[in-house]
Amino acid sequence: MAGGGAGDGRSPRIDLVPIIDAMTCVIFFLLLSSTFVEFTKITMPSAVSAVATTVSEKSTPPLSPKMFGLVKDQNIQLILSWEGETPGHLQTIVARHPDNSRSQELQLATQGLAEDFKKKFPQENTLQLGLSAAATYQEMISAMDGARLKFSDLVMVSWNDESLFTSLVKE
Amino acid sequence: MDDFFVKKKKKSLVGLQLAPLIDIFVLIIIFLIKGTVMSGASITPPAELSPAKSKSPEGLEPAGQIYLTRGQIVFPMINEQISTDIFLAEFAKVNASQSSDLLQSLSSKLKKAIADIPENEKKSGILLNFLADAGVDYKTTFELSKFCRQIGFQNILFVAQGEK
Repeated sequence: MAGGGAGDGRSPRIDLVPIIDAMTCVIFFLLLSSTFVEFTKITMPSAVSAVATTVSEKSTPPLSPKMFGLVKDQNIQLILSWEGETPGHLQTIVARHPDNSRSQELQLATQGLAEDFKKKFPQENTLQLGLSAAATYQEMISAMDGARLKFSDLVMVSWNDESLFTSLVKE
Repeated sequence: MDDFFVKKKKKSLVGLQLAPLIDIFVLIIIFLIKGTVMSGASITPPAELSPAKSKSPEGLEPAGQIYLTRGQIVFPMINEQISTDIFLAEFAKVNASQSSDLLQSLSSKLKKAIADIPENEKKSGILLNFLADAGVDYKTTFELSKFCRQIGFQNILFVAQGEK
């Protein structure tokens, strides 16, 4: 019995259950605390001199689409203009909500213009968005909600750009 | 001799194995702790601010905050607030390459607050939750966003109240 055996001649019995439990705990902790290190392999080019000729490709001017909401009395005139090889613009008018409530019409109008643009230029993912100085924060959020469904990146445009779009509408 | 002693029958005790039970409970507790999403992001805007509504499904990110009511700009990060009209007048000076002591002081306090943000919270950039009253004009929104960008906030998240 002094040796820790069963005392009846049989081999000592090891209680496996707590050992397995403890091991599970240890493995679990190791998994949680491990940091996954990504080793980067860099292959250097061999030191050989060569003559390379560069062909300059015809660079296309960027589209830089801009959407602007011109506040005109009780309406907002939305204009989406772009540059590039074939510049152009789309526009629509939406009535404003006088009580600053969320405008589903404004969101749908923004989304509609964005959709029409994306049909022509599906690769473009950035839209510059701006409103007149008098437009409200709620209108900005509604316009963003519509545009975000089609463009992954939205960039704010200054209210100062209003004059550019006013002249565009007059044309 | 053996027959003299009556062999005692071993009692078959129905014992509850505590060790594996505790181990499993420890595992469950660890799983629960690790699986809990600490949102940490909450906004308590001033009472006079009525937030804009949105149907966007995106959640709130834990970040610095700025509140824009119809008359005041509140910076909870530095416990400061400033009148909107004064801010616009001072920022117009800055845009015209003039100096503004008020904005300089605000800027240095906010930069210090940004510097105090732990590095692990800056992994996805220095974010700012921008919450404005639904009726605030775009000019003020734009100018204040521009000021925040100049201070060092890399991403400005325009916050609105969710609407079903």
